[in-house]
Amino acid sequence: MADQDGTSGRDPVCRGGGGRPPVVGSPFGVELTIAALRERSGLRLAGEVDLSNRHVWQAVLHAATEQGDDIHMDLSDLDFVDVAAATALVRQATGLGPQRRLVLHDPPPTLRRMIGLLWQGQPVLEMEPA
Amino acid sequence: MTATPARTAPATDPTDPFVHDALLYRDPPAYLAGTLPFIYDGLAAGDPVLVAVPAYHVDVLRTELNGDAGKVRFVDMGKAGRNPGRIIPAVLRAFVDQHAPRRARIIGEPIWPGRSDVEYPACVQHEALINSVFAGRTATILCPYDARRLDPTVIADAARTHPTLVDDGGRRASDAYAGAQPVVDDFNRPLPEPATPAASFVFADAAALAAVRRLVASHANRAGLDPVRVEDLQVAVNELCTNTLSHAGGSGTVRVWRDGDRLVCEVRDRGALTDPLAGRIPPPPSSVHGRGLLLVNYVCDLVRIHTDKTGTTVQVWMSL
Repeated sequence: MADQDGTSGRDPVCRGGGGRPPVVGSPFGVELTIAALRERSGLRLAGEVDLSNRHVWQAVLHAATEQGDDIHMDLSDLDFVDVAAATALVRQATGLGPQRRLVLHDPPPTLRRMIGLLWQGQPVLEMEPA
Repeated sequence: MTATPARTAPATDPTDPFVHDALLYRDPPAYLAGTLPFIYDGLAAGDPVLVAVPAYHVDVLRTELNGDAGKVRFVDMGKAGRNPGRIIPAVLRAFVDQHAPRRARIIGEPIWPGRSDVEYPACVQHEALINSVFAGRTATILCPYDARRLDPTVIADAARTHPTLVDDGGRRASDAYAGAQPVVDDFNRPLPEPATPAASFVFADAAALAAVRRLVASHANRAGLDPVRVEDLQVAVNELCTNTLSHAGGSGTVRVWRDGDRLVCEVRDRGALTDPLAGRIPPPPSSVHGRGLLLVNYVCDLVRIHTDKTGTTVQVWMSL
């Protein structure tokens, strides 16, 4: 019953049999790595953000906005964000006020599309390249 | 598309500035006779005019308007409205809000002869919900229906979803007008079963979401879905499953199958979806919630929902 197709990387686990749909899960959950940027104030966030680690994402964003002036986020290795994670980003940027900026560097295309569709005309986030 | 049940039409509020007419036309001259004066009246009044109709009607109206075409906003409903659940937030409300408080004049044609049986119930629910979304708003929406080529049951449904009808005989109140909820309930019907054997898997906690995304992507890639749209589909199914885990108290089942030139992903759970406007109204910028289903409506080619006491099933359809 296990579905083996295309599940490269950390494989989902499928348990099932007897004609019932397999129960899927992941032995590791999702991975989110967080590192401070060396050259400026901000973070490098890599991996995936979903319901399972939403609280980590929110805490990291909150901590990042407590310090410094503008905040830079290198998202070049961010593979997946859900709508709630994107909402948290927009809310943090909004909360910074007009004096400070939250700049996303190389956000994944899905995050760009999500922000474009859900927050059209509310350019609180800066993205580079623009 | 059942026979119209006998219902007393809800009283329309004569002070409500919102107007929602069905134009029942039988040939191309009647289409132009019903739409061009509507457009010219809007332009003469200095009102914003949006024409959201299938591409072949965009072409016809652009040609007829000639030099005035530039004053009208055109949208290909076959693209922007391929998913009926997308029309209210992305096409209609966007335009009305942008131009408020001026009266927005909109020709919206969400139902045309090429609409499939699987799309149709979502189309009628959309038409019905327009009445509740725009009640009290200063807007006029005129919906052309091809009364010669569309099935008579479709025209009967148009009479239930529009307070007023326009045809060769003029403009009159629709006796069959039923308001939003009765029609939404009528078309809250069990969804199509898989046309081909479906891949099926159960998720029970947030740690399973990554696995669900990978399985959906693997099936979508194998079916040949465009890579960008595979990502959209992953996002959409992830949102549906997140809703299940957050609001439906636990586990759900995902099924994926191919139906002709479309790929279908279905998420089923034991929760109830009570708000028929969920996913159709952009929340205020400050809101934390209310964007998951909205995004699903934006990125999928068709969203169908069936909900009852035993649970909720959502199908998202993607064209291959």
